[in-house]
Amino acid sequence: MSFVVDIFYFASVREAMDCDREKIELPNATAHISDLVDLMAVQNKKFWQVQNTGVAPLLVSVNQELATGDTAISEGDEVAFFPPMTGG
Amino acid sequence: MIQVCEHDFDIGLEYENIREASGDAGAIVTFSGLVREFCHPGTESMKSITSLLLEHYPGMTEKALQKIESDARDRWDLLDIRIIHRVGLLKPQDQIVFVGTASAHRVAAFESASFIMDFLKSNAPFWKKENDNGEGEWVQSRDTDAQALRRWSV
Repeated sequence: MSFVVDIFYFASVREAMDCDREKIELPNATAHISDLVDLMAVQNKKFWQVQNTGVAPLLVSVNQELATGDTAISEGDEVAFFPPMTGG
Repeated sequence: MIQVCEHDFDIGLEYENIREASGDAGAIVTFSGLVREFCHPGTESMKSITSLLLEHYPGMTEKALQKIESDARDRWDLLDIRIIHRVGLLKPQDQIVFVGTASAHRVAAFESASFIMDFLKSNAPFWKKENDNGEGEWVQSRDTDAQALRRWSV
């Protein structure tokens, strides 16, 4: 069994990933953001580089709310990765 | 009132809109933020930019701004709030952001406008990229922005 989430990338993360959005199919055991991040780091070298060589921490949101590694994810969720925000 | 837009805004018009919407206000504070041509002045990394790209996360941006507005209303007795944030490609001296607050007395209007700006810097999904004649550079968040939030005890 598996499920699909929509992944979005913004700003420097979007440029490093060379992609602004993608759908990723995940095994059901991928219950939390931390599981997703671990899986993506293994499957996608660019994501591993963003995660490990980025100068700033990588932020994440689920369904447009800031999230953490403990945040649960499920079918159809919108997950986004981006650098610290610099508005105003 | 919250607006995320590419087009410019008219501070005089926005001030009149607040005055009209805020009934018996005794104080209106307005703030506008502009694009600076020279970044990091007085340092080795000082440079001149040709444009500033403002990227955002449509949908989440509006939610984040509504949360900031709601948090400000929880802390102060406010008669009106207006937040306008531009996105897209801007030039030096263009207006980026407008915040206006109205209240019965000045302290609430001053403090809430400052509170809203502090949270706009760090808690709304906007990202700035400074373009010069090269590849351009994403603006990094600064420790002073995080410190600014701490003065509101969050």
